[in-house]
Amino acid sequence: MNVNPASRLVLLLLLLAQVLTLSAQTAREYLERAEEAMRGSELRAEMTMTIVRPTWEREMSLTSWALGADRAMMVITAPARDAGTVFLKRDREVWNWVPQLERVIKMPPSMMAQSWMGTDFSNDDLVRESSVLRDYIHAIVGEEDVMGRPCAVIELTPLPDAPVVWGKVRMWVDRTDFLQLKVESYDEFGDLVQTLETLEIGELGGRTLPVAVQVVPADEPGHRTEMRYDALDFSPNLDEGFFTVSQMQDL
Amino acid sequence: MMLLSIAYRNIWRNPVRSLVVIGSMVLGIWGGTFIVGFFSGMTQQQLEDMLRQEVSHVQIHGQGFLDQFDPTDTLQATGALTAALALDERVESFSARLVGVGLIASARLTTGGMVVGIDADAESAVTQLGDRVVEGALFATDRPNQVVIGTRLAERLHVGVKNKIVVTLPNREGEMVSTALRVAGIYRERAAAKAGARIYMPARDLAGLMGVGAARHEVAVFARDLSVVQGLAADYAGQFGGDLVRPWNAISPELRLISESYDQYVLIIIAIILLALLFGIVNTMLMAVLERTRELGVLMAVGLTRVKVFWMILLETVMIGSIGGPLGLLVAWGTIEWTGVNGIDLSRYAESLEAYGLSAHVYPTLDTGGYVEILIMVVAASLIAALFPALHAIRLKPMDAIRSQ
Amino acid sequence: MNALWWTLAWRNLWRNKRRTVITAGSAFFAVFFAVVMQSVTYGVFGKMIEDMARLSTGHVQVQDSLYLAEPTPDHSLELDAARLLEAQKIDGAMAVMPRLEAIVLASSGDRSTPVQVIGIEPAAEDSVNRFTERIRTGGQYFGEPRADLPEAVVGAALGDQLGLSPGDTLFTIGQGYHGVPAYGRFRVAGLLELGNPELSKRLVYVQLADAQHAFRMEGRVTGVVCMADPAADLEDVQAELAALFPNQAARLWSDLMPDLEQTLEGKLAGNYIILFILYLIIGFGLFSTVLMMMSERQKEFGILISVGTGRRTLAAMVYLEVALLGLLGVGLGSLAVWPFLEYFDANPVQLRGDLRELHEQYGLEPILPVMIEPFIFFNQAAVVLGMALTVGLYPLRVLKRLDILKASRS
Repeated sequence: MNVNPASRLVLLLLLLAQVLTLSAQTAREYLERAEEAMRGSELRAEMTMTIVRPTWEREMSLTSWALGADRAMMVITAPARDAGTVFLKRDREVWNWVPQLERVIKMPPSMMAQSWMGTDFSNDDLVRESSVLRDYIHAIVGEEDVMGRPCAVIELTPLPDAPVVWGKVRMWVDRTDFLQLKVESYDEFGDLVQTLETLEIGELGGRTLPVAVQVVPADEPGHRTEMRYDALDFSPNLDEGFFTVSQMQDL
Repeated sequence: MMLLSIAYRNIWRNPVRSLVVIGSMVLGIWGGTFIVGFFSGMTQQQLEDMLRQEVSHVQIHGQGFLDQFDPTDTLQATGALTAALALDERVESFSARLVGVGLIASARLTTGGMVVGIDADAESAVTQLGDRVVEGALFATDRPNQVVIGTRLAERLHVGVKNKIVVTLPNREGEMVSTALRVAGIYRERAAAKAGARIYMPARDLAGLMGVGAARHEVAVFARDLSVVQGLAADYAGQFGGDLVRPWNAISPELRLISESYDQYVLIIIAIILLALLFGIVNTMLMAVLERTRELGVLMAVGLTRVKVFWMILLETVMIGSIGGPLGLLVAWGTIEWTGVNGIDLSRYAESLEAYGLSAHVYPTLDTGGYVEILIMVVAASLIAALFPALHAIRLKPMDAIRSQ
Repeated sequence: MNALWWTLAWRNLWRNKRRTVITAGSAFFAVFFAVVMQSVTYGVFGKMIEDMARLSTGHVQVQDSLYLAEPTPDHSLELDAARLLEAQKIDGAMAVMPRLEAIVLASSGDRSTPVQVIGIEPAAEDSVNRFTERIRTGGQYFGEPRADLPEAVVGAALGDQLGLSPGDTLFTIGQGYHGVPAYGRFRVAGLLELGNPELSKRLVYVQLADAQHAFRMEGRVTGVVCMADPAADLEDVQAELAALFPNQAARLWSDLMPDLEQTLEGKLAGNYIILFILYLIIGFGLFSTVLMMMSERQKEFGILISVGTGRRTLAAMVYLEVALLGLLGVGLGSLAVWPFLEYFDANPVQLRGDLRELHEQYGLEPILPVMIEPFIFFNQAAVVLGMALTVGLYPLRVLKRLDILKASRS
């Protein structure tokens, strides 16, 4: 059940909206701009995650801060029992602050194999080092409409030695706003493993972007994880010093 | 002297009877010896199976490595250790490994597991890994970043040969590093493998990834013979005091438990077999004497002293024993040698054994000491067996004896 | 055939007391040895299973059907007090213990390591595994449950690794039911000396209720472990448990420890060979006594036939004699071996040396057990009797061909 989403691609998605000009025609240029945007960007978001399974459902609210691609902090705000739990990512290390125990734990590899909080996201994905630009070959393979918007269909093929588990990734990127509306990830056999799709496009933080997305594993009927952004701030004025272990405890 | 020749001729006066006694002796001794050889072979085999595939004879680890699997807890002097092992005559083979605990991921699944850096030939020599590769091959070429994974992991990851997996683990500096590996082969794991997944890759590639150079975390040693293992372990523990040296019985007390309790039970079985044998001999000799009651009576009546009668019977039994005993041992030796090479196929009784990687063939084996022990026991048994009929004979009253039947 | 023949055969036997005693004795010892050997074999194997079952899986364990393939808290089952009570009443169930097992990260000070947490019912587990006897001095087994400070009993090697002493605090972090974060804080009550170093490095025992609370699965367990009575039929117990838990799987120890089953099966196979050889020896012994009996009574047979006794009649009588000898020996043997085994059941042979130490370390009884079950007796008696009856056919052949004149003059 531990499926790897492209959570890096999720971040990408959030920040792709920063790409404003429309002169980029090639796939590479699309993604280059996106990566560029990501590197210098910062973000504060409030979101709600819903985990849906055939026999149960769970909801979680959290607030997150991100600086570039290497710094991120997340605190759970609901439900009450888990509220106050903080996750910190610096480069490739992850820490966890547990208020009930009043302890900071650094996550060892063994724990990272588990899914993040029971979602379809994996902890390990937070630390795996891979770059959409560097590790893939990109090509635009077509045009398609998604949610009524014309999109470029970009196919990404990972380089043989890249530390990427996918055999192939397909992205639908909106031509107007450069929104990543859908991502399909395939294994090396060419089978679809998971789909990241947009449920709703809206305006938050002064930008138009997908405000609700969901990750759906291909082989597990009734499983999905939904993410909905309640608030977004694209200039929260963060600095490196915010992303520290001691800061975790003060949140 | 004459008694000897009389005794000898007596034996052959009733060939049927004597042959029966010799026959049952040969059978009994063959049976007993063969069983000992069989047990020996079976126990040694099962032990060796488990030692081969899992524990090895001796394991040497960097001090503290097994606690946290910290990449920096390497062996104190990998080079010196491997050099010493290479020169050691007691060592049949050894494999120096790098071990990292990290994440193994495919498109379908991320799971925790051990990444083991090996030298393919050395590892196959010690744990027969090469033999257990069921698909693909064990690092067929020199291409970098190949990996061999277990069948169950392959299933869970939903990958096959030539597919890619991504491994993430901490390096020397504690940073998490990732690399892509291509599945070169898939190996068959043991049935109920305890801890999680175990994948094998070339040591030099893992060393590059972890940044540990030529140092290694563990060495598994397989000795030429089980008997030298304890001494071997002690020697290396002394010489490489900074490392953790453990013989197999310290690593796996359960193996010891299972094998040793079985040994004690075998002793009891053998005692029973020998008792049965003993009884058989006494039985037949006694009947033989009974049959000759009249004749013995006549002999005593015409002047053969009781003492001489006693010795005569005793000698007869001993002589039969000296024919039957060695003959039995010879036949036993022959069968043990033959089955020792060709094996006894037990697969009919335990079909699933082979599926679990255990051999269903038993190769009986017995060392010279074993034969000698049995010979001594047989001689002792014959002497005891001889006493009963001899004692019975001398208690006969000649007149009653003559008139009996 | 009638009563007369039997009487004659019987009296014939006692005409030559010694021979009768010896031949019957052959059969007697045959049964004796065979039964003792089988009894010890089954005893040892049974104990091996028992010991391993007690240490980990139990004889039968009820689990969620998906648990075996993927042992996570998500694959758990509901268990309430009533059903547990019902399970304990099952015929043949000696102890039924609920357990909640999960792999989490344990942390104390700045050291952390993955461990296996097992939520147990302290009293029940203690009665089976005698934990209280194996707590390192300075600590104790579980006391009265306290909501504010749940206790943990930690494997000694784990305690050493994390530097724990009784009174210290142990934290656990992991995932509970449905992926919720599961955090636990426990006070170390004591360190448990578990013989197996792997287990000692890995196990943390806590109270079931505390585990259920920490993993957010109140009323759920990952396994219901059943230890059966020695005489119970495991498959019956399994069936009853399956009936009580219809939506789950009741697994035998052999499903949960296939390695052990394979090892034992392998040894049993070897045992057949041994038995076979034993029978060979015994059979030959029987045969040789009958052979000699025939040769000894040649004269008597010769005379009997020449005065008119039909060969067939004589053959039948002799056969009856052998059969009676067999019956006598087997019957007495079976009767005699029983108290012999009972004695060793009550006063078992004690193991020595290393092996003894090892057993004690694991909390196992260092004895050599015997199994006393009717089937062992019947089987062996049947085989030996069968051998006697087969061997008895030889005289028929001899008698058919007996040269009367030669015989009478022998």
